Amino acid sequence: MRKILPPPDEFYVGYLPEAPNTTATFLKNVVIGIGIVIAILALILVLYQKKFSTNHFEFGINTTVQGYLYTDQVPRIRVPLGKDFHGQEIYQTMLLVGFGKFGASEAIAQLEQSTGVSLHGRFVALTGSLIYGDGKALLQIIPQDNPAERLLAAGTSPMGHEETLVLQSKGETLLPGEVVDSKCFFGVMKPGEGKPHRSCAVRCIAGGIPPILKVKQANNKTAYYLILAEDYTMVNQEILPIVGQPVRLKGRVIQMEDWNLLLVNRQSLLSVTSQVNEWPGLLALDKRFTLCQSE
Amino acid sequence: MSASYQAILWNRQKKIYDTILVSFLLLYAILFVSVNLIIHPEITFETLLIRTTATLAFLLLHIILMIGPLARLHPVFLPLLYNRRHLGVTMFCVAAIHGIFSIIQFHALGNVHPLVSLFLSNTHYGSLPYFPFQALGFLALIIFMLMAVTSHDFWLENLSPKVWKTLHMGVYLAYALVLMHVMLGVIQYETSPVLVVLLGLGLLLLLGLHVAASRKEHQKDQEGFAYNPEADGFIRVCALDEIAENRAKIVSLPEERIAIFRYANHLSAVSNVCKHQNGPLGEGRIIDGCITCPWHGYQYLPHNGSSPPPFKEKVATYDVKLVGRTVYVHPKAYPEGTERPPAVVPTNTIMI
Repeated sequence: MRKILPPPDEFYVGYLPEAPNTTATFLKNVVIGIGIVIAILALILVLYQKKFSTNHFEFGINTTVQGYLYTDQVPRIRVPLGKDFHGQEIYQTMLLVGFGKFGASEAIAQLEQSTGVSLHGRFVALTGSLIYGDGKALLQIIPQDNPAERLLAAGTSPMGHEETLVLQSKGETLLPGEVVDSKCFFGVMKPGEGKPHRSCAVRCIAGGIPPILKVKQANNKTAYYLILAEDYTMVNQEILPIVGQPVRLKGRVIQMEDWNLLLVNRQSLLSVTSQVNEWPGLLALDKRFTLCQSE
Repeated sequence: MSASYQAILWNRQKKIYDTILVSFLLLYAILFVSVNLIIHPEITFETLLIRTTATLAFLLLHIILMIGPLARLHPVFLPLLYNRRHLGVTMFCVAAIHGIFSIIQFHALGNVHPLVSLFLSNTHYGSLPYFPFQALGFLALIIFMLMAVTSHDFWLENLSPKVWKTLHMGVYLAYALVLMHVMLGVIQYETSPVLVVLLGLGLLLLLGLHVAASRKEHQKDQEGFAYNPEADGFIRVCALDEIAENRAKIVSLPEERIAIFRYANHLSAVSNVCKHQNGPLGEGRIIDGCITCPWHGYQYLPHNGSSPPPFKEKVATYDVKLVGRTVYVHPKAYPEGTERPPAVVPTNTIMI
């Protein structure tokens, strides 16, 4: 150290125009060294970040989709994609979300007010910003983008379309995963999961955005389950304490075309989440819902 | 030094300092953003902004915390200390961009006020792994803000150096909060051990430098001085020849440090603590007849401890006497700015 450092004889006074020679020379080398360290650190920090998802949010871009709008269960639009090999109509269900950290219920209510009709089950042309990734899609809607005449211009609802909605039970199961908010996870935020995003997910789900259980599967793919109560109503408020952390949820899985629903028992959920609030580090396990600190 | 307050008293050294600082900010930001866009094209603008400012502010905080002990270990690092407050304010501005944008990103446009959401969205305050880490970052940002807004000499003067210094020691609490903010936040999401290793190295580096500087200070305090007052209250300090011309000998008494300066065949003693930021006056020099603080160049006349007009800073003075070739000081402090006759060094005394 003493060989590297100049002798401590020089005296630096900041408001004098020149720094002493040896001190100035030494500090030039220090500055160069700091510059090199800063550059290396920048590279290391970038290179060793976790990869980001390829999910996408078309911010500022409006797309119009036509389909059947449902206001029950989870607000969604069921978009006919054409017919399959057997001549059966196939659909893609896009979850609807509102602007910011809100679900689509308020926006849909405003649309119903402006059109003067109930939109549930109606074939509409809905305009919004697409959010999509990993085979799932959502549409962010705001009433201003959907004037009544354009919304209803797609035509009247063909009769009998609801009968084509097949709900297939896949039995009870215990699923390990993380509860995320569908809007952020599928493209609005990166990362839209995990500890850094927890508070945001809580805010979004509290605002009505559908919660999803994200389950990593053995084949390294991810399965997604739309979480609802057994009576198909939303459990957004009850589920908040376990959002954004490793969790196991038990419930009945129902396949609704391209979405899986996980129907959970509301009372059991309340029982577990109240324990989480009391002392989250020491969770008592419930028969129907169990929580783990780590997976 | 200034007799009136201005936003910044620019000089050549400050301009060089700030130019280098801005260059480093740009170097880091350009590298971090551009390499991210090449390697992670999926990254969003918001995440890029939040992560660039987060890592940059934390890096700057490490540099800021290293400068103090480095300057105590060797005076060659004092130029880094001279304009450190610009570095601190810059760090706060970068951290504020990170903090404000994160609050907007994660908490705004929701069903409660963003600040309420910040503290109440995650209520697992009783759990270490689930702890709401964003609240820790917010508290650290408040400390940095208090430090930044009081960084000007106006606040130093009006809060008093003691209060000001105590407030600014809050940087260590803020560092601890930021460290936990990172450990309980993004580190729990990231999977690479490299980030944890970097955090650990940063912490070890700061601890090592502070311990080394503290040991050096302690050793200096213990060096060859015995506190044995004579009958008249004076304390033997050292041989005259141990004090070089225009420099000082620091005496560490149980409750204070005294700097005894030798200049122009005189000896004068003043408090070792500069009124500006508690800099060690005894490590300074006599320049143009004035004691000059090594930290920021504040000046005092050695015989009365007062800054030369129009400046108003004053430090305590002490009586000094020379008996033969031995220097004595009386530990009783005179009120700040009290003129005390210097001890006269006989002109036939030969410097060795």
